[in-house]
Amino acid sequence: MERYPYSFGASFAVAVLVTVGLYAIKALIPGLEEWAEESFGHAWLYMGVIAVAVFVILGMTPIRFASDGRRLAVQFGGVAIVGAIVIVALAAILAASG
Amino acid sequence: MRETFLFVHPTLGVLGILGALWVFVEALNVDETRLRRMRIVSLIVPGLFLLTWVSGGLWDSFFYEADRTVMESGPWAVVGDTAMELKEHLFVIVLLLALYLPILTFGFNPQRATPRAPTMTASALIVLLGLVMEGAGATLASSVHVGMAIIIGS
Repeated sequence: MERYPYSFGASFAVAVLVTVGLYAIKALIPGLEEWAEESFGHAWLYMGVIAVAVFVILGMTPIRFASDGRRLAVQFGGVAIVGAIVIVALAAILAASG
Repeated sequence: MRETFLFVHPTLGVLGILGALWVFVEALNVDETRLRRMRIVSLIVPGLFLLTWVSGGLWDSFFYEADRTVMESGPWAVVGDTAMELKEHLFVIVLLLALYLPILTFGFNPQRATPRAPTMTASALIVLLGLVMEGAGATLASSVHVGMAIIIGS
């Protein structure tokens, strides 16, 4: 049971990185967001589904990046904060570029 | 129906934030009673955020286009677009943290390892990023209001 906080902590980090990576690709390649919305529906749906799928599937595997609870907190907390800052920056860039 | 989705999704989000704050406070000093309460609330938090996701998403899909047209008539169009982009993508992190919260509260054996640091970090981040989401929603609403003022004024 105690392996799940670590495996899901690792999968959380990967899911956030995947979300930010996909968003960066959409922001940097003009027209890709429109194509993605036409192909997969609204961003809120497909980005959320991809992230939750990565989080759940990877979380069930015996993956572990941190050795104790404190390091686990630093790991997923750091990824969440850095991911949030990058998303804010990308949102501003994408909105400004029209 | 439009107003229902518009008001329900931030309300559910605020309830989720308050639930995460509750978990944070319980985690400050864990004993058997607090651990039980913390675990119960940590199960409610992801439910609230899943409902926020669906209700906010449905509003985006079916009702946002009219607001966007109004917003783009005003000088706050870039601000509003930034807020909407932020809401669509930052919410993923909040949702993942909310789903992770019960895994932390149930996954750690309090007899062997302290669940405090990861649980407090996850719940604090839900509160912090959740408030950013609420702020982005208010900014978006203001951008639409500014666009509306331009349309009515012209």
